[in-house]
Amino acid sequence: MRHFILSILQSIFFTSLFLSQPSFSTSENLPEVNILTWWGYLVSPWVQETIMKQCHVKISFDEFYTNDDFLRRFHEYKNLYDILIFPNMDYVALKNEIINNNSDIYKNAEDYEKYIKRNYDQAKYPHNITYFLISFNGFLYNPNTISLSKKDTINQIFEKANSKIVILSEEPIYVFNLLNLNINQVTPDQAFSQFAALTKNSKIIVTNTISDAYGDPQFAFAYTWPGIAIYAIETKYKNYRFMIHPKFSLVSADLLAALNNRKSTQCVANVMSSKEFLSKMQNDALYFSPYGDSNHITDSLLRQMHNEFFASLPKLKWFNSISEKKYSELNRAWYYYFRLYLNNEQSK
Amino acid sequence: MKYTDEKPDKIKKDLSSFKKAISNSILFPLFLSIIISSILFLGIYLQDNAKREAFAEQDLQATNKIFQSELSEKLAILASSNVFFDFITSGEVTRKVILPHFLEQLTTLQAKSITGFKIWYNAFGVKKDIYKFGKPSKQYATLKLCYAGTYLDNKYGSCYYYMRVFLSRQAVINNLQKINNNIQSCENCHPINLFDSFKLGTFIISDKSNFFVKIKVDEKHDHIFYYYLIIMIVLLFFAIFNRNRVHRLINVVITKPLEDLVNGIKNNTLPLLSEQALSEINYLVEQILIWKKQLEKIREIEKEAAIGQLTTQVVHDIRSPLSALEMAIQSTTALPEDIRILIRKAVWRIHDIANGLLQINKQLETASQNNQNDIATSQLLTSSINMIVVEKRLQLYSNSSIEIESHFDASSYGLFAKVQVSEFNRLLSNLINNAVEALDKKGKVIVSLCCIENNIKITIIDNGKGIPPEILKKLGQRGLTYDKQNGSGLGLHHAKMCMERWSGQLNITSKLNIGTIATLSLPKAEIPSWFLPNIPLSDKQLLIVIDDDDSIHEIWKKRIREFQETTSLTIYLKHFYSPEDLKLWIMNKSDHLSVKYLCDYEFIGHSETGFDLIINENIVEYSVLVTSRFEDHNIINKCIKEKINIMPKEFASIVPLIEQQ
Repeated sequence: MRHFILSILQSIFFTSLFLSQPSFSTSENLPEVNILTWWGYLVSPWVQETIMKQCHVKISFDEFYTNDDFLRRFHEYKNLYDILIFPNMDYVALKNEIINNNSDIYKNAEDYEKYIKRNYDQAKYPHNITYFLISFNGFLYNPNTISLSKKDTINQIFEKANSKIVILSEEPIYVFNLLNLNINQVTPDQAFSQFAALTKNSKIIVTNTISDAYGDPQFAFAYTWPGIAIYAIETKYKNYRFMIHPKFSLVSADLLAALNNRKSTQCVANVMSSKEFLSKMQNDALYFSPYGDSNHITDSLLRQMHNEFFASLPKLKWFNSISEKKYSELNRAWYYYFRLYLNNEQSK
Repeated sequence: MKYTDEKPDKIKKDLSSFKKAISNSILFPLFLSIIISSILFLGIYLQDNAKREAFAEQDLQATNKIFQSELSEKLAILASSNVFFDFITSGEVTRKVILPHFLEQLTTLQAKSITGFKIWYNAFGVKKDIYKFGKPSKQYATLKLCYAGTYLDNKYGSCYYYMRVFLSRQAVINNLQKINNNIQSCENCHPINLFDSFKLGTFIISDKSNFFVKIKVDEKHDHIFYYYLIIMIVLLFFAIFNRNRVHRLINVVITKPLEDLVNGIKNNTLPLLSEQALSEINYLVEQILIWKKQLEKIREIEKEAAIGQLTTQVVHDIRSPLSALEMAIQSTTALPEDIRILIRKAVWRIHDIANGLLQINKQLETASQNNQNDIATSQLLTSSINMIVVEKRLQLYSNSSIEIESHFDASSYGLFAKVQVSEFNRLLSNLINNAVEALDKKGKVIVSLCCIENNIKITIIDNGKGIPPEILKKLGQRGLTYDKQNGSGLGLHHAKMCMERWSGQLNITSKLNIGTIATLSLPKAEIPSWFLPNIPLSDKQLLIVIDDDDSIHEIWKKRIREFQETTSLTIYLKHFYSPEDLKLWIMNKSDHLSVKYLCDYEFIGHSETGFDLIINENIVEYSVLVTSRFEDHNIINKCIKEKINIMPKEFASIVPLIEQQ
């Protein structure tokens, strides 16, 4: 009881403190469009400026760092959001909650690159969903510690890494992709036991972001996205190489969903799924526009990777969306087994 | 006059020096001790102080570490919460919605040291304020919020967010004091920087202000110095007090009386003595009287010793004529038997009285030598037996019906055995007592001594009632007694044990109504070198007797006459009564006859002894010292040294005279 009263008093105190402070919101009395998006996509000032200029609205965006984080936030605050930018693998899990065929943003897909357009069509997304940016997994490696080839099997790759550092994504779906498993059919136990056998000699680090582990002299390779690779190579590790592997590089797409029919929402969604916006966005996000356009790419490495990606695209597989149940199952197993496994590994 | 004027001044000066010396002897060691101990204490104190300061510094740092660790832990819990993470990664719209949850989360922080926060995003060239609340202060630390996914991971996480924490100086100090209650604020102490590194627990600090606080760890041991100071002051006070006390005592007891005395002498006036002085004088007088009494006692003892000496001399003078008389009675046939017995008993009585006197004197002398008697030594048994017999006769003098006789002949002469004198005397005394008790108030006890093949036999024969055979067999067993009302049964047992210890035997034979014979058998000991075993005489030998006692001359005359009758030898006997006569004869002697001197030890009226005479006249080789003081160790030792033989004068009548070829 006492604790409860104390909590109330403290809440009142902090609330009054908050109210006494000026917030950082702008004084402009513009409508706000609230977006849930991957971290780092919309931070650049030009995004806010472009949208404000074209739609006369102000955007507010929440960032997520993992699929799991996205799903949690979506379920927790879904009524708050006007637009979602999220991985296509989560579509199945969310589609019943986000379908809105009254939107016309799907028309933007008409100008997509042909292979991407084909894939978009096959997915039969509702009218309020478009592609945002396209990406794929590849191997960023330090040629001083390891030499990789596009012909290497996954076992050969880990044998070459031996006891060195291997960085993997925090997303179990991507990690299990390395095992060449049918994600929708495999059990977590099977997936984990194969993963443990594959990585038994290596030091595994799990992160979705650039960290100091990339600079470790023992760093062998990271199974990651081109954005991370480009950022790493251009900022710190200039000798590192990024390899698109025909078998283990899978194409994934971020989807943009307009969750309501408000004019402001539809406007912003249209702007953000437009060829011009996404072509420009490639330079910030270091991923690729579904339009296949490289005219606005200023970074040479990104351009080179863009060209290589689109050249390889016909041969690359796509990540399929999975059910939320399957995702949760794998995710739980991931956090249960894999974290446990990693703790043991790290204490070696 | 000049001398007497200067004297009191000199005394004063001397006394002053004395008092000064006493003062110095008290104060100097104390001051020295205080100085040395102070230096040592100071050294230890400074060393200890330095250690304590270092320890305090470490203590302070450790406390700061604990504070930072606690703060970091609270902030880590906050930053790891979903609400916090959602709040900082959200846009304005969502932030407004989840703000209450965020603030509620902040309440769990409960860090009074924090006055406010400021949180912002800074990555990819974009800096964006997220939120701030509370009151900024001059003391702050900006923490990097590094996340791997949604987890706080300062090692591998991405650090896009920053949180500046503003701290209250006083609240932090209070917090430190709560952790370590020895910490105190201080005005003049050296300030320390609480943010001295770029780490706050697990957080990385990207930016910070200096956070200087003036605090110190309370040094509780400072008062040791004051304790030491108090002890030193007390010691000093005590020393000064003691010095003054000694001064006062010297003044009262020495200086003042001396000055009074000197002034009295100078002014010809007697000083008035205090009661204390008078009592001291009385004490001295009493002591002097005690000493006087002790001196008189010593003189009495010396006198007694002199009487003892005189007694010995008297006995010595009496015994020789008595021996002569006894021998004369034995040989005469002119007197009737009853007269002879009467004279013989009278002679014995005189003999016994003389021996009794000698006995008393000997007991006094030997009392101090008891310890020596505990060792078995070679003893002349004739002498011991003679002494015990005399003692028994004196004890039974009132009972004329009991006779105790001692029978010695030539074979009794010169018999030595290794015994403890006191034990042997007691043993012999007990056996004679037993014999006397067996007589039933009338009868005779004969003590005799002889030697058969190196075996000395001492027999005590009584003509008493005898012992039954069945008792006789058991005699000598411990606790067995016969015919004694108060007998312990230890006497005979003790006698038997002693005899066994001396390699001898005790045998008792008895016949009822006839008598008992107790025989002591002892191995004959070697005759001491100083003892004369016999007198060898050759034909035409000149035997010179030097003695101031006529009776001894008579004994020798009789002995030589009897010797010549039994041998064919011609012995010339010459008598001298003083050392001077002998000296004169020696000076004028011209014949070349073989000469043997039998020389007495003491000559009445002469300081020169027989020993001196022998030495001075250079007749050692031919001389025998004939003396009743044959047990005197001084004389024995002198004779051993000069190789002069001694013969007991009392055995002149039985000493063997042998024919020398």
